[in-house]
Amino acid sequence: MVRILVIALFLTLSVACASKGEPSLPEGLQYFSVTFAPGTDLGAPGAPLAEAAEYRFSVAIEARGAWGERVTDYAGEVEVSLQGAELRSYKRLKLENGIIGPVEVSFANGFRVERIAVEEIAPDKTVVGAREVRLKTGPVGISAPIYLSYPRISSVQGMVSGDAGDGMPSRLNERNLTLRGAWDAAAGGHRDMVVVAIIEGGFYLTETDCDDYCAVYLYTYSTPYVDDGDYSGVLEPGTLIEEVNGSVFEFFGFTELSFPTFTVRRDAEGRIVKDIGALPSPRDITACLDGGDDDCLESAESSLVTVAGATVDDFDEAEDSWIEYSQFPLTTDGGGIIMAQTVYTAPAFHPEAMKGRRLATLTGILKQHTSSRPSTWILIPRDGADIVMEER
Amino acid sequence: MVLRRFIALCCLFAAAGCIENSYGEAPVDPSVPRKLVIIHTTDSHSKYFPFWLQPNMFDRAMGITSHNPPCWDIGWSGGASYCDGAWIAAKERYKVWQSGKYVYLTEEEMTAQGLVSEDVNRDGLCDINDCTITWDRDRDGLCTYPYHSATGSYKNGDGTTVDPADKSAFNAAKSASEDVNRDGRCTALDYRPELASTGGIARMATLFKQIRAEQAAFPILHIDTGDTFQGAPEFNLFRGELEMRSLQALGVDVMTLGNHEFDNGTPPFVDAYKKSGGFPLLAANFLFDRWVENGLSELVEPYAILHRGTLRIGIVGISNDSSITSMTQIGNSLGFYGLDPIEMAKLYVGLIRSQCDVIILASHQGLDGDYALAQQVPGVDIILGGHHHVVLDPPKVLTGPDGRDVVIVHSGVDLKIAGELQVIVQNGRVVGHSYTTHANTDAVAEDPEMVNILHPFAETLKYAQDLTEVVGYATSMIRRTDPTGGDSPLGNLVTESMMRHELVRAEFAVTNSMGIRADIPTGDISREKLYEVFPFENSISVMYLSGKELKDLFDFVARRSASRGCVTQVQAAGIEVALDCSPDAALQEKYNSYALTKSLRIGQSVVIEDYELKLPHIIFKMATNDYMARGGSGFDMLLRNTTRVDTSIPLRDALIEYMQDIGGRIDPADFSAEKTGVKHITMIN
Repeated sequence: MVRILVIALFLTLSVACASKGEPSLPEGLQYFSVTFAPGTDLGAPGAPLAEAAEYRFSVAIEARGAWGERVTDYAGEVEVSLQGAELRSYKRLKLENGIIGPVEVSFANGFRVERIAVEEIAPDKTVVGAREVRLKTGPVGISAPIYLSYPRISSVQGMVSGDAGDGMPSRLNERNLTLRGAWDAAAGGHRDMVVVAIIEGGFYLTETDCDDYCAVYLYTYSTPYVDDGDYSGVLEPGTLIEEVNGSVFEFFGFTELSFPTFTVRRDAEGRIVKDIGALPSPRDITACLDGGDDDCLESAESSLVTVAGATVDDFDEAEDSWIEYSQFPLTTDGGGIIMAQTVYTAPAFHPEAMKGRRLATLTGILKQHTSSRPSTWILIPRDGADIVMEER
Repeated sequence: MVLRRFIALCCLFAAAGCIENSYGEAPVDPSVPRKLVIIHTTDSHSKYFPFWLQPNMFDRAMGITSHNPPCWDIGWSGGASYCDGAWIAAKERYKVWQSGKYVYLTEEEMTAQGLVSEDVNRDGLCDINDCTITWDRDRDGLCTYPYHSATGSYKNGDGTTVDPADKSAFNAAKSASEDVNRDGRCTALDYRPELASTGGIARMATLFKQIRAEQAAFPILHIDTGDTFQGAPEFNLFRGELEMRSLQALGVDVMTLGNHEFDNGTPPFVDAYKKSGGFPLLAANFLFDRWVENGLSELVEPYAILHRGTLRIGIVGISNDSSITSMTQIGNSLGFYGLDPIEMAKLYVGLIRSQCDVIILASHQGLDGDYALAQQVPGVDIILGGHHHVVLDPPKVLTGPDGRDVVIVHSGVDLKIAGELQVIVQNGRVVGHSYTTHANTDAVAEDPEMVNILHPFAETLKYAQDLTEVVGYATSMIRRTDPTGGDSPLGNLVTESMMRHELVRAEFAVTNSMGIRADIPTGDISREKLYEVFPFENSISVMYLSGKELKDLFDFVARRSASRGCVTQVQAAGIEVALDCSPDAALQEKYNSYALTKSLRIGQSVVIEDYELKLPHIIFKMATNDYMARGGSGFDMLLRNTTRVDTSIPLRDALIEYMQDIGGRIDPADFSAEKTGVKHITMIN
């Protein structure tokens, strides 16, 4: 009797469970496939596509069911997005009979790895809070990766926003990027970048073999440090850097990489490699200042620069620039104006006492601050040796 | 008997099988892309009621702006305030910004151009001293656009109300209204210079509902990455119960333990948590002491695997033990020890990686810790972080050791924003992401359900202490940092108050810079504001230090400061010290330290001169805070001192008493080296 009861219990429970049946696959649209035209070159890791002002791809977007089959009776709309690049083609596309394509998707300013993503959007708007939005409905699609080149410092500094205003903000503003040096085909790798100066809780990094838009400031908040056990140490000028990652941020017109991480070049024994010979010669910006040429100065932002023949102005010590930031103006022999700030790096130089004195040369890092007056350009010497007074 | 047990077991097995099947939806091809939405909060620091904030440029970038211009700012048009027409005595002109540069205009030129100076008293500054009546911005003597609660709109000058349907007119009236607190009158209470009403968990609840409604088609998680405690009087009064209960009501899926969860010790945290109804707590890098029964070990798991839609989401909690000084420096009473976060993350990620579509580290390690986790722990897709009170927008993307992209997000502090991270998961990797911040301001209505939960706490808080009591007045912003990296006006004010307290009367005072957590903005100084400046319940300790101990102390400060951008890590009064962050190699070798005290004077006593200790055996009386005195933040040399006496005088109370002793009106210039002629801390880089 008991046995029968036990068997009956098992049977009942088995049926109860089995009554749910095999998990059934949902019907209808589940996701989208985003496929490139056959033979499309998408690059490969280590072999990215050649740099281009705009990338264009022919893709087909298809509605797919749970088995991967095309949902031929599907009609709806999808929104196209990219990870970081600027989409240049249509943002919304309509699918009929479960497909659209081939259709061109184009974008600019794509780097490293980019994918084309699509999401279905509802046909009508819904009120959420105070906004009316077309909600995303769930199904998404994403393409295979497209391998693109790494951005360089010049990609960040040299590409100015279309609506360039004060300070010429970078077109890559508010992008998180991993930067490398120029590709060296002969060496089969990227060139290193070099640390030029460490000032104000950050460091200035420059590409080697580069003329314009070669340098950028990396804001580390405190003195940049390489923490690596036996080979730990404060970063020093001449240190070679393989790669940096950071978020582009325009601080009053001054382009910087915030929240940076960086990889230093090491020798076979793991020691940090320094090459003082890789440090660039200062670029003479006297003519840029004399001509009031902001484009020329912008191309030297964050670079090591020098000004020949400049006199400390009889500046107003009640001015905000001096009171708040210890910045003071100098006028070049040709009438160009530039600010300097010496208080932190060359504290022995007292600008108040130097009014009217002419400097033979003033060398240092070129910064910009759009609120600075009378010039938005500020030169910061690396140390006292960068200030060469004219003999009296 | 045996048979009964057998039958019961059969039932259990069968039932368990069914339950498992209820999870077991149809297997999903991992190559099918799926989206996951994660709401991220972190470092809420007990700011569960709205508070007034003076937005900085980063706050403004996230949509936190002030509706309350200072009374002098006639030309205010939203956002930041600018002083139009400051009087420059040296030039006998008004300084005016025109056509991209400053010009200097005479009175007549100002009049001719129809310009009005905001610097009424011609002292070169635009401040409250330029206001006849603090609320009367347009200086017409009338209360402009008072609020009319019956219509929810504003009154015109003729007594009619602005039509709320006319959005343009309504917004113009709202912007120009001098009735800032919307009580229908213009009074001194309407003076809230440049402050924005920010934060609060009831508004956050509304934001969450909106996000959940907007993303209803996708699986959604809410992850909090710790430091829910400490930073507002709510914590001092309710000891964490308010935070835990409201987080639970908010529907948090998991929370990582931060370092401040244990500021009152472990039992109060456990008590507060148990009153909440519970939610998963994570910390994979804690090793619990089996001999200490405080209930924590039963509540905390190293990881959780959550099923949302067809996604299996593995979350490993990585806490921060580095700031819990009581764990290592003054005997461990917490009942747990910290383990290597990298190794623990590797262990647990390795354990659950194969079972999950996506792996999240919910971390309270701070930025550098998160970078290390991303670069050293294979298998991680996302790191949600906290501890440093920053917003990583855009998210930082690093490459993990197994080549996968690791998306790192930090979502600020004080519930100022909610972070919304959307990711697309395919083949066990995150292949796309986007991050949005939602500003938690007075533009968001409070959620009534959450308001109900908060109500008893709010009432108790109201009667327990009058946080709105004004205890002083700041003529301009009193800053806790100084551009030179040395002592700051607020640091000097605080340490003066410690040193001069009548029950202390020390020769000098030192307190850690990080213990002073906020600037004091221009205007009235309320008790609430001082809770932001001193969120911790620290008191003044007194101890006697020899010259030798002082050299140890300040050499340590020099080293600590050198590693943090040559910015002083202490504030001080009664001394003049010069700290060299980069002495030459010979000095480093001689004194066996990479940063050194160059000089130290206390009163007339030269303790250290040109790096050399002159008075090793003379004893000086120091006031400090009890945290440092107990060896906190690495001040081990103080821990060894046996003369320590805790006065039990809270730093907050000492500051209030001192401010009132000096008349209540605080001009930060009075605490600057320019005015006093004494630079307490000079940094040499």
